[in-house]
Amino acid sequence: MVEPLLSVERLDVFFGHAPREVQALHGVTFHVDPGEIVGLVGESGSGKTVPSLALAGLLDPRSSRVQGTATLGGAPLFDRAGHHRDRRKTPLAMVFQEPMTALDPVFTIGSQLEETLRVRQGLKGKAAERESLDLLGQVGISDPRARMKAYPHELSGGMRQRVMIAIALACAPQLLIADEPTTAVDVTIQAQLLELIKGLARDRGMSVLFVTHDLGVVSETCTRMITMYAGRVVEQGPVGVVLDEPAHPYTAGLLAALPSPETRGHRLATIPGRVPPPGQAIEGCVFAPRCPHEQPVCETPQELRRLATAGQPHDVRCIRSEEIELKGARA
Amino acid sequence: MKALRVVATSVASAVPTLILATFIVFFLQRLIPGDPAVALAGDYATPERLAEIRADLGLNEPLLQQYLSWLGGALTGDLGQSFRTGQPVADLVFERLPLTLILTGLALLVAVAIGLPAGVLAAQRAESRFDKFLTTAATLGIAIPNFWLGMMLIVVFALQLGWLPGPGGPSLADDPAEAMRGLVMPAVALGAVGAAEIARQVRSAMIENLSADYVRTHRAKGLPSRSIIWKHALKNSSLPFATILGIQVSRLIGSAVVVEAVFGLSGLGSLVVEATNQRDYTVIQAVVFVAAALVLLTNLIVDISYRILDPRIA
Repeated sequence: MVEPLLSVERLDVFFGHAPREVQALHGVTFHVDPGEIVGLVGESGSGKTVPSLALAGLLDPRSSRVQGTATLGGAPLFDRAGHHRDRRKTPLAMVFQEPMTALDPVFTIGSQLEETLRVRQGLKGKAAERESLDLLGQVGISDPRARMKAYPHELSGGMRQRVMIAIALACAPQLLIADEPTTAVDVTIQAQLLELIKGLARDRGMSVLFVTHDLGVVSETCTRMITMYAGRVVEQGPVGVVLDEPAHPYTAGLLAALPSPETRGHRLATIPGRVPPPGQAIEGCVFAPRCPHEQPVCETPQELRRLATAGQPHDVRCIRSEEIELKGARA
Repeated sequence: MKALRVVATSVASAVPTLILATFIVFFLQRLIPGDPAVALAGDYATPERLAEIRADLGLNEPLLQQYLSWLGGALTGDLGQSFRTGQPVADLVFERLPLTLILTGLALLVAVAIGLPAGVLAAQRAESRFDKFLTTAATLGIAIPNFWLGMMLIVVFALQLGWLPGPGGPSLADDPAEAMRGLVMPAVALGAVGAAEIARQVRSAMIENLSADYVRTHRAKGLPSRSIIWKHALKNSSLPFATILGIQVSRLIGSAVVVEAVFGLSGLGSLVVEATNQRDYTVIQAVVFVAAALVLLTNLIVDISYRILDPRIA
């Protein structure tokens, strides 16, 4: 058994101040193995972005509080008070959703890359320039020398996202957190970017935590997936297993909402209702109010438990998953 | 080449503005009650003497013709003679201009040196106690008239503490060092409003920028906050900063009139006050011409700076 690269244990995140503090993450536990691409899935408001912000140290300590532990390459990411350690020493990088606004508009691509290399790897001058050109080449940017002098507004959305990835690589990450990196670009560019990220992960032995609402992206890119709902992990397991035989009604609901050839001409399935806002007290199963399989037994608190049947680890937070018939992607 | 075209079009559009400003002032000053001939010859001059003076000064010509002949002169570099002393107006103006330029320059320095860091620090700690104190102080700074602030400064620092020379010190030509010391209080009185305005503008621009996505990217890649705030967010805030700076320059040139009067400085401002009292039309006209030209020059510089500061403006 390999030692996981990232290991997150009972991570709680709170926003705001007492007495109006709300809990956004509830004991989130998961791991990412070296070289593995893991999908973190959920709809808007499910809390899928909060773990990545917490892990990257991007939560404002003045308005948020972190509890629990997370280690990256064996080193803890948070100190005892829940404060993030020095970001510069953490081999973690992040790519964001909006390539249009995530780059600094008044500095050149080259200066933003070289600055990252200086802060993260201590490279300066010619060495930083050489490395920047090399990174731009690695992310598939043609004529890197000319692009170094370009400003973000002079590049297309897809190119900007490649630059974002190059900046992330300049952090020499062992773990890349990609937060909906392909949501804002069109489909052909999306496919190219996914291939790029997969290729980089393979070549560099880098792990990727892929945060997305798009199950299609997950099935193409990831080996394992984690479904989040209301700030909790509700299901996790190998992508093939989870997508074919979802064990949690929420995952099944997300799958049913995908358009497919069979649903042509029919109204698309939706999950009725919406994600409960953080801070709302829930006694039993968090998904019960929206669940088509809800029974009185769902009013008891639900724990994440390992399914007995699966060959590979497959966890679910649903007491009824063995009793109910859930439709998977292939069924 | 593009920059050159920008300059050319800006200058071309500045000329009509300049002419319009002098046109308005020319007719406005004729509405001031009083007669330059009486101001020159005194209340007891004979009607014949007054008529003679008016004819000498060309005041009997139709107004429009007077204006056009002045304009023709001004555009060829001849600003005419002072009604009162007969000296070339250009000499009078350029004798007084340096003091006013130094004063407004110092005031601008005060405004930026206080306003810029204050705005950045307030934005960094938005909604903190420091921020609230600063926002209140800035509102107060904008509300306080500069002549009153000037008088209070004189009372405290010149009369009571004796740290700085009060009004009536030596001129720049006689004793430059002492004259500069004498300019400290006027510069503070003049620059206080500017500092407050700059602080407010910089604060709001910085708050907006510090919550932008690119700042999150910089934080994610591990840039120290010092560099995120003072390099990246500040450069992104430089357009509103340049704009407010340009507005302040225009305001400073206008306010210099009052502050020069309070501190007894013989700059452009006091020249125009004297000229107005004497109905010395050519001098008023020339000062307005120079002041308008300075304002337009500032606007031109601000325009060009936009293009340098933000690559997105082509």
